[in-house]
Amino acid sequence: MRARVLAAAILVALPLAVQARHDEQGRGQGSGGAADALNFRASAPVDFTGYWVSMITDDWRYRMLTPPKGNVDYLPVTPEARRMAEQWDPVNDEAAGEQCRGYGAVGVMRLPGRLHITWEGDTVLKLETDAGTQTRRFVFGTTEPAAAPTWQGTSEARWVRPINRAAGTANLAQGELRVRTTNMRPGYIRKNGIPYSANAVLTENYVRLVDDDRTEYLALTQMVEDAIYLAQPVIRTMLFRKQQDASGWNPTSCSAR
Amino acid sequence: MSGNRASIAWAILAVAIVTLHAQGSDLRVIPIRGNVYMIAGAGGNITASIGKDGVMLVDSGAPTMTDTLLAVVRALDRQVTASGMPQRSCVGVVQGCTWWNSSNLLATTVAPPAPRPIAGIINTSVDADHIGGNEKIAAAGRTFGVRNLANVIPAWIVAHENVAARLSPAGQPTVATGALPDEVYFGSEKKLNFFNGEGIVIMHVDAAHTDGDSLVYFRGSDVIAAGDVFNMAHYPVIDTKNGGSINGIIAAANKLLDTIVWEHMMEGGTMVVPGHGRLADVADVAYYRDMVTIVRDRVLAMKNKGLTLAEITRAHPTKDYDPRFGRNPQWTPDMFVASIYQTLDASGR
Repeated sequence: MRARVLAAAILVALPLAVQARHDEQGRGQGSGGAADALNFRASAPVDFTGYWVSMITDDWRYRMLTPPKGNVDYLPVTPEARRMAEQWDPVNDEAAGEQCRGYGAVGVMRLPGRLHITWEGDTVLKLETDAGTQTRRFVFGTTEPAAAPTWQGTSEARWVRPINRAAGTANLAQGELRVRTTNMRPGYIRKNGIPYSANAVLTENYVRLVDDDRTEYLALTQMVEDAIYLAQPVIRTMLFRKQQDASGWNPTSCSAR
Repeated sequence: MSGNRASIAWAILAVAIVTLHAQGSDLRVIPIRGNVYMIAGAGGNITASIGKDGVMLVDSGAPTMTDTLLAVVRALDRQVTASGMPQRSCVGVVQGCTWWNSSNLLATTVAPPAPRPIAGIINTSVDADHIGGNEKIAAAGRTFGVRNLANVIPAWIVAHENVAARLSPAGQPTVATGALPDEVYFGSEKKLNFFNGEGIVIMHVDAAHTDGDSLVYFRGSDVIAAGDVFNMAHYPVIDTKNGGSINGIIAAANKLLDTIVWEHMMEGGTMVVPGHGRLADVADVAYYRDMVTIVRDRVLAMKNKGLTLAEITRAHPTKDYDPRFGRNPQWTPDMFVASIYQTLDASGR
């Protein structure tokens, strides 16, 4: 069964590849229009709230441990990124107060740990991580005024619903969460100093999957675009399992090592 | 005609394999079936799948034997791929087959002339004589990924998640980073993509030799690499420090028996590569399962009567099996009995 869940997780990566077209459809018919704008919480097709624990199966040694300096396996980095990775020094990061570089929006979702997702009013979905004690805010409907870049950046969120082509309408009972994050402080894709720049754009799809035994999974597909440090977009999928309670929730501070 | 060519190819391969042994490598290479070979003498037994998709190894042997093992695998790879031995037909979705061409549809494909790289390693447990070559052999291989073709990625290493956890307690690796699994699985099994024309299923058996044991089932060739849950050389090692237990060993043997299909009268059929010792079939596994169950029951009965471990050891509950399994000074019958005693409670669980 878990193979099916993973297969489904891989399948959710496909919409990212055709994102532009999908976005157009979403804006035209699928987003829910004015009703959504009033109350994104009430109109949510999926309930992501609760505690989730990361399931680390792929890239185990790159995620559970900080890889050695200079290791860029599986990442399509530019020569400049490779040069930066070779210069990585966690002591310098700590001295500069930059120990959270590996916990920015791009990196933190890949780290082992737990998520706590709650609503903040009707237009902001708040995602907290115990790894590094970070908070991400997914804002629906409006774009918050540009502020100084942060580790978690500015995230615009919207529900994406499948189109019922026969009826020409969106299926309001189903859907997934699409989040686009910009305005991030330069950070690390991996904790061993593989950089992304302030120009990086992070696009994420959050999909809820339910197992035969009613276990809930959150499949997150990330696409990272960064013309400076990535030769091509990085697309990767992470899986989280729903917890019944906060057990295991263990907020930690950022570690540069 | 194709049958004759196949026979000739096998004959050439057999000669070549004997040559591998004759060259003083100290390793024995045994063709089992299809693309699957057993390599003995490099620590724990190693199972190799060699063919058009490359080389996949189940376990990587002891660290002191890595160079020898690598040389033997490369030589075998060259010989297999150069022999022109028939591969599987193109029925199904098989890479490299021109399935739309009816003249090729049922024809056998010819192995590529150049040896293919080592693509991956599957670890059956955390033991040093099974993972010792991980780093060097993975570095000598290559993963053909889709994410970054510009990088040369070492061969992948897959194991149960408990193997990875045991190798890096509290986040501190006890082995080189490159020797750690980069992909792990949890739960009862993991299915790999078709490799060399067959499906490969990694099946977890819980708390047997350790708590991270895997059986690797080559479904097309019908071969199971059992790792140290099944041992033809001596009594099974129950690594209690790493979560092993006698009941897990018995459950693993039963899992093997459930999976095996015999050819005739409890012989032949699915072949099983043990962690140590000679190649086995269903009769060997059944005998082994009976042996560990009988010894377990003897120890349990004595424990329930209130005998101490010393008294049980003196009673010698393995005596009738010692000539067959009790000759290894590194893992004596007394050590086996002690490990059973430690991992059984009064109810036998």
